[in-house]
Amino acid sequence: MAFIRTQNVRIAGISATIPKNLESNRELANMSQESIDLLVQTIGIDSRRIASKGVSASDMCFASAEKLLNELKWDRDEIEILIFVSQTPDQPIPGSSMLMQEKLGLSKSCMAMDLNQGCAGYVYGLSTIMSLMSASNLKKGLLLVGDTITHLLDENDQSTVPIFSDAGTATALEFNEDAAEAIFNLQTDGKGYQAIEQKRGEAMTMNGHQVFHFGLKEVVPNVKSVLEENQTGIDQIDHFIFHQANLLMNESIRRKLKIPAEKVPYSLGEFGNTSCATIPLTIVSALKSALSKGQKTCLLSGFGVGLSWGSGIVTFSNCVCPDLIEI
Amino acid sequence: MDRTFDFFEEIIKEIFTGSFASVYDKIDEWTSIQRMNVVVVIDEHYDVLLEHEDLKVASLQDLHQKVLQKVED
Repeated sequence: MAFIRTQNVRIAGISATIPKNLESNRELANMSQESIDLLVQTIGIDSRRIASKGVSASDMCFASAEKLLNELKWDRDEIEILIFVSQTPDQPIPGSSMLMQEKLGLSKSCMAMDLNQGCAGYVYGLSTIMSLMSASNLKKGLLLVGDTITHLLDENDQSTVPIFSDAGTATALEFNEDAAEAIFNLQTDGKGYQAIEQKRGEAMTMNGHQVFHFGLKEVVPNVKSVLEENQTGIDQIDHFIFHQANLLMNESIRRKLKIPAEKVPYSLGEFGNTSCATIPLTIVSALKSALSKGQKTCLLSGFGVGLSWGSGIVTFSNCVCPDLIEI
Repeated sequence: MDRTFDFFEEIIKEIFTGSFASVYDKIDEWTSIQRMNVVVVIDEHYDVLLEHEDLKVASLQDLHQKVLQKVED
């Protein structure tokens, strides 16, 4: 088990941006009304936000970061690390983190790097940036997580189109000796790399049954392992924020873990599965007021492409969450 | 755990409502959405996680037997 513990890093704020363009699953072509009803009831997604071809993941992350940094009134010269997590970077070379560092006006002393991760990307990115900040006493950090997955889809593929959606987010972190310890357990099974993949020049494909089987099999033990390692009971966690895969899978995971429904927020119905951005988007859209005052202990869990999955227990203390941005 | 076929048939039937009711026992006619619902209901009732290959059986009775066999394993 790859348990990672980090100290002295506080999540200061989270912001999220979605495209204005909305598509409804109620209007899917070539399906009967009854089939649409069953689909929407099963996956739990009513509508999705689709980025136009000129809008990239980094555009949405940039809008989120600008808003967050202005609200926090941070001195940008104090930001010493930037990590950009995405599977849909602006261009192959260089990584979008470098473009973001320049566009956001960060200093040359800010290290910037990209992580190619999908639905587990927020947990992977958060654990990476918290580990580096914790180990090196970096003052401030920025984690940008977003995807325009819809740009990779075949518009006639009924196994992906009704599910995926676009978003870009920013998470601001700062070194703080009073911050609670965080713990993560990250896992990977490369044997399942073909479950969700995009080959060069082709549309992204997903083996629905394989992904579904993986989610039901691996997420529950991973969440339990983090709780056990941290000697934390389900009753001690204020909110369980899961990657928004689909309602059938997420609810099955929740029931298996015996988590009360009121502790598990969703953004899936309105915003669909936004790949690596689902966890911060759910925080901004469903937990904004809950996390903005006092201290809340949350369990975050992401799972998908790779196959990769991971969970972490983190504490939010007076976390700034600006209103959701639409571009 | 109720291992009878009647119980098994009942929990599968509950998934298939409206005009889909007539295909509840025709496994080869199930859509991917219906298959996912079946996988979840079997997982939650029998603690058995079916693979895609497991659903390539001729009848609901065969599927029931397969589930019971996996329970034993």
